[in-house]
Amino acid sequence: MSSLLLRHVKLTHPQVALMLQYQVRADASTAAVSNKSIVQTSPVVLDNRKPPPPLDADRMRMHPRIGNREIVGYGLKGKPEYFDLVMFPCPSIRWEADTPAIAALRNKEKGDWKQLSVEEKKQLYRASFRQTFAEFTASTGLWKWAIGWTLIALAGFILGYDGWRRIVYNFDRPDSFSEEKLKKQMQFHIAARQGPMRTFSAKWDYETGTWKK
Amino acid sequence: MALLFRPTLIQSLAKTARPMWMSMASTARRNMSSHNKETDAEFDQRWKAYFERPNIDGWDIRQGINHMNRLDLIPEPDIISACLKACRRVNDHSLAVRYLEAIRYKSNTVSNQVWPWILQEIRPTLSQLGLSTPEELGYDKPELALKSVDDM
Repeated sequence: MSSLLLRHVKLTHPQVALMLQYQVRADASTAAVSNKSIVQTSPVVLDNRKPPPPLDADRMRMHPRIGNREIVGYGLKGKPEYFDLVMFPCPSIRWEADTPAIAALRNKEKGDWKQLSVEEKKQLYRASFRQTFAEFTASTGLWKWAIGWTLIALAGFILGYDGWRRIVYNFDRPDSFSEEKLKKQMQFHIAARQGPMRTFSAKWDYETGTWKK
Repeated sequence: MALLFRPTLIQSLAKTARPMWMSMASTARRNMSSHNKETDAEFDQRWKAYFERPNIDGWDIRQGINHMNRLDLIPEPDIISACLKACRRVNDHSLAVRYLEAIRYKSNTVSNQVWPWILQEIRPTLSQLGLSTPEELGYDKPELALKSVDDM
């Protein structure tokens, strides 16, 4: 009857679209009992092999996004999203939907925890959480990339600026850089007895008028 | 304009009128700050009682863990034990391990000596519940290297 009614519904409101999606999923899951071929009509629904849980407002709003994963808490903003954050260790949904194996483990978890092996505890952990603290806080090594590319970029900018200023500021050299003026300067330094310890006048022999050997 | 600021005006009027009311009333209440500072012992007691509530559910445990995790403190071993026992009551081993990991991470940012001490203090609870520490599960070092979702 519902499909009969939905046939006449115009798809204007997103909630109506969600109801349709839900109906399609319900049909697919009931059809799966008789014939094995399931066509996933919507790319949003993650798992349509199971019959959908009872329809209420929350599930209509959220479960198309998170599949059959259990909502276990408030999380960060009250939205059913998974995240691994240092500041909020407990996300609002489990990482995985309950597979039969995990469901069996959860039953076993209700008993004594000393009966659980380390391997089973790890499986349970990975069903609830994607990564451990050690994993998602591990260094990614991005700082090497950042420093490397910063230095390369700086070198490029400096080289580029140097080329640019050679072209743009292509002035003549000052005439005090010419050979004869430099020579005159040196003569002045020697005559003024500059650098008596280790520079000009120390190396100049004033008696012969030549450089010391 | 008066319509816009009516709540504010009423509030400020009420504030100025309060001393008058109080002088009229015979009960002598001193108009001091109403904040009373919670002592550390009271804080610990409050959070212990929070986790020791017999009908606490996973939702509230997670809220408590998330809330305490963003306070500037490392919870007392008593509170940690209470939370682990609460996890036992809702049958969630992985939640307990996650909580221990969060505490471990937080205490290691302060000093490397804190986490061994906490472990030593909560050891009776751990052995009573049959709970594995992150180290026993091999979660003190990265176990898997997962690809970043940004690189997929």
